[in-house]
This record gives sequence, structure tokens and C-alpha cells, in this order.
Amino acid sequence: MENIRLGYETPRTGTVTLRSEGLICSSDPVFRGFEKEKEW
Amino acid sequence: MKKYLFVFMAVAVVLSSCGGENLLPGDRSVRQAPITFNLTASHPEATKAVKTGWEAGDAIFVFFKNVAAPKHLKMTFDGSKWTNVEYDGTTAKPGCLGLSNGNTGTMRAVFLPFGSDATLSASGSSFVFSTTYYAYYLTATLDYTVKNDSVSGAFLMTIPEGYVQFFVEDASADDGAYTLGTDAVIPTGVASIAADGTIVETSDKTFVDDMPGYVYSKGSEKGYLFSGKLNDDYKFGGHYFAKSKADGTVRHDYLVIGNEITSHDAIKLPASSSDKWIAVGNGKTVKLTARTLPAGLGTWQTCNYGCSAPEEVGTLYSYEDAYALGVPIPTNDQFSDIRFHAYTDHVWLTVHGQPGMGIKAKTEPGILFFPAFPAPGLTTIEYGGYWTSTLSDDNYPCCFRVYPPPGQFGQQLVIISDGEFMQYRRYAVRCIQE
Repeated sequence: MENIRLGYETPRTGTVTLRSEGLICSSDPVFRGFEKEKEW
Repeated sequence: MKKYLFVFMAVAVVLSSCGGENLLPGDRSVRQAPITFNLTASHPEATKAVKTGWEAGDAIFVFFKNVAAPKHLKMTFDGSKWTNVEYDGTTAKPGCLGLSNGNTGTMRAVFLPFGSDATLSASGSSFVFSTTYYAYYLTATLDYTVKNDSVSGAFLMTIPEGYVQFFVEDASADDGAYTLGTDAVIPTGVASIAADGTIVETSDKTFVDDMPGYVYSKGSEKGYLFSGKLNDDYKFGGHYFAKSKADGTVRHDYLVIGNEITSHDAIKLPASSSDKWIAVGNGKTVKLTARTLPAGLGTWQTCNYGCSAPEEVGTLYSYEDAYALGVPIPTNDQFSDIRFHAYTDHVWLTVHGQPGMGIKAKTEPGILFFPAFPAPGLTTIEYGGYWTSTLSDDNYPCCFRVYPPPGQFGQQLVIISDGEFMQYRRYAVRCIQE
């Protein structure tokens, strides 16, 4: 897993870039997070 | 020396306030190293159908147990990766969480699908968002240990049990312009996050209230998303939807019979442009029957006489007073048209809390709702009665009645007259188009 660290050039920033993992999986983001799609 | 002591004490206060169990009080070296948050978010293998689909601009708010409100971490997605910034309320303040090596605790992550630009403030020891979104959310908790100047882990983001979502395609969708009401769903969202990471949901809405519509737009797809939590008390065999303009000037209704809503359903309703949505209101009519009838017979008013919504009962009249209104009251034959299962489907349900009979044409989009009501002087609903304009064989007025299950002698839609007693009856009036 890539570990991207930012902010080290500035003391005490404590911030980093978070990397997404396995998240970009939606064919239709309308339904993100929902398990069952229905059409009425 | 005094200055050094002051700094030392200030650091000690910060360290004790974040409550890490394995702190080394006074070890200033642990405060020098910036903390790397190497966090990811994913979904459980067991529910591969879950679609998360993060989009550029999405934000996840992360709360650390023992880090006092309103300090939090905000993760923002740019389309390919997450960046994060520590916030003290509305102000980005790197390092303000005050974490250091050896700290352990629990993190709570919250994703508001329509609230990525929300800000947080403290209310007592709780976190509150700048806007209350009556919508579903994704959340997860995760234990952490600050080790080697970093915090690592993967959030398993899920929607809590009970949430459902409705999508209505609408090319001219505008935030907050429309609401959707269905008695099976209670508008609910995040009210606050307690100091221990517990999510407190809103409880100021009921199943009678409508869900606000949030615009969703991606590519050519644009429309409204409505979401809320299932009303566990809703046990009817159909679902009646009322899509209203927020200013109350426009309303379109849609009825589904026989379909079930279960937790985590995402349901696509007909597009706003579909004729399946029936415009309802005072003076609005709908063609309901497919039967071959004389012109005009199948076109009904969507509301009771004098009412502006289908669920309103309106004034109850004696037969003489109803007749004196001079309005077109349906005949027994016309009521029979919508009564026959050959032409229509029927379902007993509630609309904005009002019990009644939903009627849906089999071959046309038309729907009607006949509210039921207690007889004058009573509080229990036995049926809803409507005057007809046809006299019985022995010349008494007749009425059309809708009954809750199991109905009267097994019938939920009846046309009857009880002779001379009709003079004491008070019924509603539903007109047909002349």
C-alpha cells in the first residue's frame, strides 16, 4: 500500500493525503452505498 | 526558565485533553513529529452489490474519541485520491488533533452524501453539522494506535440499517425545490455525533413528513434523491408517493401496489416527465378507466369537493346538501367502474397519515385516493362514504363506501343504500368531470 506523506516540510502540519482503496466501483453512483436496486 | 515551564504546562494540558492512554507526559519529542493519517475506506466483501462510487468533492468527516469537539479530520476525495486536513471547527488547523505516538482510541467516520461542504461546531461535548441533512449517510468506526508517527487503517463504510433511497430523474432539478412523502419512510439524518463517537439521529420528523429532495447530477443523469428510514409500523400492501413542490403550488402523486421496500433499497421512481405522476389538487382531474364508456365518464376529480389534496376529507354533507351543491356527483355505474377488479387494483393504505383506499387503473397511469373517516360523532374509522347520484330501486339515495380490511362481508368497495336511514347519513363528495 502506497503511503503518501505530505506536509513534512512544514513542522507540525500533521496532514497527509489519504489514498482510496477499492472504492471506485460504482456503475451508477446514484445508488452508492445501497445494496438493492429496484425500479418502480 | 519561566517561559520553558509555561510551554511545558501548555503541552501537558493539550496532551491530557486528548486522553491518549499511552501518553508520555512531558515528552516534548512526541509533539514534534507530524502525524501521517494513512487511512482508506472500503466496503465489506459480503455485500459486493454495495456501490460506493466516491466522486470528486466527496468528504468524510472523522471524529477521534477523546479529541474534544469541534476538532476533527476531514478527508476529501479529488476523483482519484483522498486528502485530509485537521480542522478545529470551521478552521483548518494542521496538528490540532494533538495526537502523538502511543495514543490509542476509536475513530468514527461519517459521509454525508449531500453535505460535503458542511462545517462542524461544538454543542456541549457533541459535534453538530452546520446544516441538518435529512438523508442517508455512510459510516464506520475503527480502532487506531498512533505508531511510527502515523495512523493507519481502513474504514468499512456502510449505510445504517433501515435507510432507503428514491431517485426521480428530472432535468431541471434544483436543490430543495421538491419533497417526497410516503408513509413507509420517515425523514431521518444525522443530528449530532457524541463525544464517544455515537451518532445521534434526528427524531423531529415522522412518517407524515416529506423527505427533502437533493439534486444528484452526473453526466446526462440528473434528478432528485430522497432518502429516509423505514417506518416499521407501515404494514400496507402498497406505497403512495406525493412529490410536492416545496412552496406547495404543485403536487404529483404515484401509487405502487404489491411491491415491498426493504432496508438498503435504492428505488428508481418514474421520471418527473412521466405521465405516471398524476397532477393532483383542487380542480385537477385524472382519467382512470379503460372501459369503453360514454365520453367523460372516466375522468375524476383527484380531490374531494372543496379540498386541495387527495388525503383531505373535506365537508361531510347530507344527501340534500350534497345535491344542492350543483356539482357532478358520480353515478353508481361510474363508481362501479373504479370498483371492478377487471379495470382497477385497490389497496388500503395511508397518505400523510390519512387512511383510505388507493385505486390504480390497470391499463392507464391514473390513480385515485378515497380517504376514509369516522362517522360524525365517532372517532373510529369504519369506512369512507361518498354520495352517488343514483337512487336505489326503492328510491333512496345510495353511497359508495371504502372499507379497511377485511371489509364488510369481505368487500372493501361497496355501493349500498340502507333505505330510510340514508337521511341521517353524512358523506363526503367526490366529483366526476362533467
